[in-house]
Amino acid sequence: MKINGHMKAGIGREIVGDFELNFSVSKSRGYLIEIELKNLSDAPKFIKEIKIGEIDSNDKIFMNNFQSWGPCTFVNPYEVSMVLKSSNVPLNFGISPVLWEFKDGIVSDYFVATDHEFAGFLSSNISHPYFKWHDGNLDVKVYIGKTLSSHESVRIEKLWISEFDTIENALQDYALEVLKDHETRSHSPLFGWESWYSYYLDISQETFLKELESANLKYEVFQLDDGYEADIGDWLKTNSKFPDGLEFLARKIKEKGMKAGIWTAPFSVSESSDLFKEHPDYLVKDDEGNPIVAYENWRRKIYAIDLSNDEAIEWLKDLFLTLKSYGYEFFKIDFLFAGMVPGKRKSNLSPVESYTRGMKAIAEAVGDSHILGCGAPLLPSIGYVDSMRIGSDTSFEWNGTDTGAPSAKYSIRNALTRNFMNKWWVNDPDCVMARSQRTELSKNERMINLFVPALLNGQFIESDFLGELTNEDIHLLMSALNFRNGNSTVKFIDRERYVITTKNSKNGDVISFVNLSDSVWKADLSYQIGKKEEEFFISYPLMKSVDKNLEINPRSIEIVLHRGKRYLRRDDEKEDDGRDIHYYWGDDYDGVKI
Amino acid sequence: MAETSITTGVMTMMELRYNPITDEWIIISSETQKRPVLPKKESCPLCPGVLEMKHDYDLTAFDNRYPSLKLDPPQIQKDDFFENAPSYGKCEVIMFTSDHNSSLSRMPFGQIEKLIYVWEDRTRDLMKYEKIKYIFPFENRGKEVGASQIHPHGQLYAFPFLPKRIQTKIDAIAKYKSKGECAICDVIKHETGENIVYDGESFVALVPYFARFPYEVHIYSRRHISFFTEMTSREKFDLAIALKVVTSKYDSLFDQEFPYMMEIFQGPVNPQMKDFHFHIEFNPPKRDKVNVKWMASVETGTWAFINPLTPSEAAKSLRNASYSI
Repeated sequence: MKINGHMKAGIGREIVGDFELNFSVSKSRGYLIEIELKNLSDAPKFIKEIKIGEIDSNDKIFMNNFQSWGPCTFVNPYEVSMVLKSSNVPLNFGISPVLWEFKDGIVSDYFVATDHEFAGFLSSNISHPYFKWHDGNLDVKVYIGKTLSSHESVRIEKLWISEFDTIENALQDYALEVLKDHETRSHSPLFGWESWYSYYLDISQETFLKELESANLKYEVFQLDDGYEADIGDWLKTNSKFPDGLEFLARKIKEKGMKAGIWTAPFSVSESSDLFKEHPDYLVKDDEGNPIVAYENWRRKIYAIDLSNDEAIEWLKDLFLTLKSYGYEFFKIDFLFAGMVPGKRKSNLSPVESYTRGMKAIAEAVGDSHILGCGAPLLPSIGYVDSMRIGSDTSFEWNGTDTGAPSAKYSIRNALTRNFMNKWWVNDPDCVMARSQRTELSKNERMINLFVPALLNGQFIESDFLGELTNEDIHLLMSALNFRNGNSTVKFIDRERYVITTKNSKNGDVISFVNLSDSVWKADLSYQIGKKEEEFFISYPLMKSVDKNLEINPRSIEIVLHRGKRYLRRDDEKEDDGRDIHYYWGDDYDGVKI
Repeated sequence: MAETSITTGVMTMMELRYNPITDEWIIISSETQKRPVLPKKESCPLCPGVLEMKHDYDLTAFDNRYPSLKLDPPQIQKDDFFENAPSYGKCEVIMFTSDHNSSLSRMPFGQIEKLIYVWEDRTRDLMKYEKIKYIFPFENRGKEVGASQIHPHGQLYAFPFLPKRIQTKIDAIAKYKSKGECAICDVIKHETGENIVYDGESFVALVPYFARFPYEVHIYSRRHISFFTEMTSREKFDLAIALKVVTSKYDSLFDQEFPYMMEIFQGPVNPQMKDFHFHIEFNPPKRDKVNVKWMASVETGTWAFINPLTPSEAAKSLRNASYSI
């Protein structure tokens, strides 16, 4: 079926092998295509992937990877496919659950945009939906990975397609369309600290407590990251660097008035773990019955938990109930893509159905505690996480490859391109680092790393050596914090240059120019919030007037404070003893008003 | 003897008394003795819903529960020899933010900008009372200068007379007429840079050549204005930046919450005196990280100040201190 933004409403039918596809097309700020899949045969049939239709492609398309770390950006698909073929980038399930598609093309998961059309699936409840570019064509496909019994029908994911004026508006509309089919967890962005980007795996109880002692800012959460566990999968057993165990640390954090946070990779099992030895039955298998390697990390093979297995689900619930009973209230759950690797499972659930079953078990176990998803398939996680990592790991180095590998640059790029997802959860752009020591980042690069997350008002988790911060480092961090709490939209100038328009940050309305490129950007200030009385513009950090034209240095951010006359509301009251009291309210005030 | 009033069972006295020896008015106010001292966070009377504000707030201005001056002061008893007067005026408390743990140095400058609009509104309101002659907003920060609450707030006194030091400043304006139009305008013009702490577009912050305190900082408007009510929105914004930068630098100077007295000098009102150049003085008591510069006999007795730190050196330290906005 040819799918485009000016198709006609109605119904359609196609036969693909043993399966029948029934389409229903209706208008919805574009077109909404509902799809039913039916096994026509008299026998149960396993269905892998199925092509639904195709859309016209361009030389430049906006693509998205399925999970937290993967890129979301404009690409020339031909160039990317050539790079992938020539560079021998190791493919694993962290890059895609449909690896076989990369033999002759590249994949954009969940949504894609050409120069004038946007197509996006509104959910991933049963199947993994994606768009495969190959030879100048864009195929619309879903991967299901389960058996349909004879004549069984399933409704698969809805597809929404629209012509757009700007890609930014299309993404905003898409986010709203997705929300129609999902409930979200209540969430608010947190300010916190975590151990990863200072200590990595070298964290110990001693160093963690030292950092806790140095935590003088108003952190809401203090989180222990990877490095405490006996092995991947053996989460409740600490290694020798943490002699007093996890309950002790949670108590210490809570004594400082913060939420205790803990990292796990709950769908991952190391080949050397006790869990692997004791419960091989918990793992996703290949056709020969051998556990499937989901990925390799920590110099070990990592297998995937079969979340269709009731006993594995009980183990998972017990794990999080125990951590919660220890006092933890913030759960960073990582490498979640392992939960939906293709393979044999105990029950006839698709990988996506198994994944959401696991996520639901965790969400129910931790109740109203905060869940931060990471390394996670994006669409099927909506409703199960409070916050979600939306880019690669950051780094104390600027560059890196745009493949989901650690990079300060591409981590921030994704925070900008995926900002529209903040309707689904609190976006986590990964940690900020204020430090001027033990980093390769220049001051301008550090400012990007600090101020973009603040301006986008997502999660704001610092990962510094707290005792080593200089006075200037702390002031940079404090300044960034004062640009939080606003509502921001992002305009894409090109792949490396972005404009953030922020209303009502703590420091008022600002327009920020983010230049990720290595060349000077001559920008104009026409991206105004609206004409204000006595309007003027001041650039930070120089605090000087700017006119309509700006020059933004390579790898730097220019924040332009946008000001006009302020209007305060005043409410007068009389105290019982006759004294006057005047309440003044700024229009940015987010407290409880009388 | 003056008449006394009785409130809550405690004898209180409120009146103004004139000192003919120094030609100045003194405010007698036993009410202020009842102020609480440095409470814990849980009992902060300035936090929302505790005592002073019944509900949440952004910024407020309210009549001081322990005023030295009131619009309806108690009657006084005249004396045959001494001159006295009712304690007419207004003492207000101005809450900078509902955030107990904030401060001018830590709060977003957007909040300071709003505070300046509040100061402007209070000035506009209070200058309507014809008997008010001088409106004086200020902040005492730190126990070293007698702050009784740590919740960020300032105060405002609306005087029925021109306080002695204000009169001295007015006399100096008249005297300076023989040299030039305005002393502050000329100081800004002749400042070479070594005393500058922050060089803003509408305001300049400097350690004055004639600083009395080691880390004294003055903020001068570049334009000759006398009142908050004359400031453009651009000037109010720039003043917020200057206040944020100066107080933030103060805190990083010795890596501690820097105590100071911040005094805001507008022109007299009723009648308005436009010769007066708006300015702010920070008078911090610290001479270094540990020691305090006391207002001792010479300073208190003679108003002659001995400054142990060269102003340009103090300016250099402050210039180099980091700050946040």
